[in-house]
Amino acid sequence: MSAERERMPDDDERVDALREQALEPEERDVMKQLEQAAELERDVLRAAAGPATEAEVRASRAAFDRLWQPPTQSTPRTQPAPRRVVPRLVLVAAALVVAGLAGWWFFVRATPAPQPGIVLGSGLEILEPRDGFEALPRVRWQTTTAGNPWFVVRIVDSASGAELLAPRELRGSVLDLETVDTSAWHRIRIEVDELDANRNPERSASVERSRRSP
Amino acid sequence: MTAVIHGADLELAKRVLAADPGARERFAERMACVPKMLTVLNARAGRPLGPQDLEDLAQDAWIAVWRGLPTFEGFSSLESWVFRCCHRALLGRLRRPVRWSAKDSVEVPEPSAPQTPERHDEVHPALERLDERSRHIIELKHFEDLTFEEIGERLATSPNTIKSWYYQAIGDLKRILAPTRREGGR
Repeated sequence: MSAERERMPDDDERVDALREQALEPEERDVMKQLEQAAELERDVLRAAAGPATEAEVRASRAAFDRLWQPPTQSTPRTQPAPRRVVPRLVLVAAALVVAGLAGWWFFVRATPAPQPGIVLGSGLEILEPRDGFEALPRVRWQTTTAGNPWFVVRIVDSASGAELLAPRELRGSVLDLETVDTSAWHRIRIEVDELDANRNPERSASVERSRRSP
Repeated sequence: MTAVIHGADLELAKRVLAADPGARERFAERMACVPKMLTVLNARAGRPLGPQDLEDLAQDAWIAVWRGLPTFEGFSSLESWVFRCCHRALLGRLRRPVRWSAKDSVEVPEPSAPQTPERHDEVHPALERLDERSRHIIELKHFEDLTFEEIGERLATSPNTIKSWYYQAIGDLKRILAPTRREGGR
């Protein structure tokens, strides 16, 4: 009786048997495929289990050495953002400095330096004689003042300060010297004052000129 | 789930990923099995690939191993896991319809590649689509050859529950493999 009881399947086994019977053909098929795949894996692992040859080890090491190399030179485009920011800022700063220097240089060059001896009143400038003179037919100047202001023009000897031409009060911007003997004038200073409505000097300009050697 | 049964291999993988030089050296030596595995797999498939192709394929497999290493969980030995990488690489190569010959730039069909792969070839891709618990139970049952009792011990779960999960996983696999089965039946 006890032996018979031992041969009797227990509840778990009965459940398992019922479960196996209840499997659909497709499920049995899946289990068969799993067994085949596992068998293939075991076979291949057994066949490949022997020690690897020197060449296989070398090839494996070389392959992984390549894979483990830090990606420094090969792919700079994937992660360069932080590196690029700094040079870009430096370039922008350098461009601004160059532009500033160029602007400064342009304005320094564009603004004509006053010629030695010429004192420009603001808006009053002596135009003639421009450089040295051989003959001195006239003195000419210009002003930015609107209307027809009055001017006082005088010419003195630069070295001694002696008056060569008495002050002349004029309303135009040219002093005619055609009738004046200027042959003894060698180094002169021309002084022009612009007068305001009350006939007081408002602005002045002066220039020194020398006779050119014949 | 605490079913790691190849703890030493998992530890090695972690140290390799952490750039431990000694671990990397040992790992590279163990991965020297890749060409041999591919040679055996190629032979079983009727030798569709020549030696040069196998060398190229070994490079692909090593890259796949390195890229997939963070997913290694220690449920199988490192070699079993690498075998699946090799198997996948070979199947992928054989399924490529044509390849370009570098020498003459003429489209050349793969030589004697089996047009209908073995049905069990679909098993591993299907397993990857299972949820983690089902995949582990199937792997332990079929590929590690453990009994339900042993799996239950490892997962600290009763064998009956493991059986229930196992048959459920088989049902899920059946549904995943159904399209393949229909294509194979045509």
